Amino acid sequence: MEALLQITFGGLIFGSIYALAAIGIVMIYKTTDVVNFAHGEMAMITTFISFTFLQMVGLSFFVSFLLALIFAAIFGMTVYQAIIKRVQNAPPLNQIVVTLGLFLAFNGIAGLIWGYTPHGYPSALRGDSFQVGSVFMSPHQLFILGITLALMILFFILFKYTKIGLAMRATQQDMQTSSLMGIKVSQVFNLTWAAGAILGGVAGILTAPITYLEPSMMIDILIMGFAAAVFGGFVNLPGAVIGGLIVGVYSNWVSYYIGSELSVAFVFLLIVLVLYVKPTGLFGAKYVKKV
Amino acid sequence: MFLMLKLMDVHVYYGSIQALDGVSLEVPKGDIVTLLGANGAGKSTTLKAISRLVNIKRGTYELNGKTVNKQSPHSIVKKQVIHCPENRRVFPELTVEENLRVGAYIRKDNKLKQDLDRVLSYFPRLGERMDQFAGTLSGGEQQMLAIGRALMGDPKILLLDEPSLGLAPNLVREIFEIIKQINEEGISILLVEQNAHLALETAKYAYILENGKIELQGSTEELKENDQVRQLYLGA
Repeated sequence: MEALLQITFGGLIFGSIYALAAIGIVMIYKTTDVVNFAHGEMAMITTFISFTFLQMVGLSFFVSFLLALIFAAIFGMTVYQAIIKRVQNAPPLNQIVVTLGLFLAFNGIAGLIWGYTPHGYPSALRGDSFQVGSVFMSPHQLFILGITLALMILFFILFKYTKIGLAMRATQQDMQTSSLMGIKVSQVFNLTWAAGAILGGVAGILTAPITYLEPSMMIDILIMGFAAAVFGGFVNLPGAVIGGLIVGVYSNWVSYYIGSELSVAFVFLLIVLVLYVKPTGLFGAKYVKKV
Repeated sequence: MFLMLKLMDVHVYYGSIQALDGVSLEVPKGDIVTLLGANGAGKSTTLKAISRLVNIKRGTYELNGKTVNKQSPHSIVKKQVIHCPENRRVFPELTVEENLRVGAYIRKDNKLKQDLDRVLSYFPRLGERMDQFAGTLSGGEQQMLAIGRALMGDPKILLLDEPSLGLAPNLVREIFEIIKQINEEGISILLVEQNAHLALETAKYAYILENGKIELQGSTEELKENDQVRQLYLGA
């Protein structure tokens, strides 16, 4: 029982990171109709940038964190403007080839610049683990939970209560009619890529202290993030968050009780089952998008 | 206070296919003008050219004498020419209230509350459904919402694309009464309609579009008596 609690808690922590990755992927897909396979690698590059500020320039953790997120926003918009925009109306297969190409390119570029040797990456909150009931938790784990929760609330407020959030939701549902309302949809696309890249970057910076910093650090996160997104039918943000938590807890259970090498396999087995029973995803509805 | 809209010899292409072949028309100040024609004649394309959703390849598009061929949809909306698209196109996963707020997206003035009250006085049923998702409304209610949303943009010229589409006859009458009221309050209207009877009853002036060209134009009084119109569009 104690082990189960501990494993479940650990799963929620990983799940939070998967959820952050998933909402970036879903948001970008929902708004610009592009499945961004390079999402994890963009996050990895952002994490390296934060590391550069932290280690080379010697700034504090939070300043480096903020600067890296500003970088992420510009990076996201640049990728959209320079590359994605051209293929936004291309057949899906072409888009997939482009974002897969970016995935490989970013991975290679990071290797060239920063090398393949794993670096240790500090956490914002250092200190010893402590015990709550029978569960051990570290300050970094609580940091992950706190940041994830804060970002969820922030994005909820953004979408629900701000004018630009309203414009983003309108554009997701009907791009052409949105422009008839005077919404500058190209601005919405830019912002979406910026926000998506920021969410990914946060996921990367939270992951690095657990896994080490190296060019392939985000590949597993990306796979699990996609798994989480599928739970939400790829269009539902709260669904992606719940999907992330489910994937995190479930894969941690599999790792502990069956074997860590099987966790990804079992996650996708679960997804096959879910999609078999409900082809639109656990929380997805039939979604017809007008362009 | 009124805005004058003028198209002169406008050509529009979809890829290599010509959709408009030299359309010229005017929406004079304060009038209802209707654009009739069969399916695929180019009626919706004409409206899309005006709201700048499609490119004008050749010809001139003027608002108050100023050429606006190359301006963005955003700046056309800012000039208070508002397009209420075919098939209503409400945002299904936004509430009625949010749909109306999107309609007022570009507004910076403080008349919003007043305009909202006006929309709700035209369409009281929307007021009862403010927190409901637009996708759950009936077809008639969605049409009311689409028109209300367009009015929230404070139009001087309202472009209406087939507001009668798919609605029961009594609802159509109700909506057309309101279209007349909206016009009486000083908004010029360019009305695209399949229902020629209704359109000729409502409008003052009509253009008839065939294969991307204006084939016939005149006051609705005149056109109602025209043999060709009676045969082809009024089924007489």
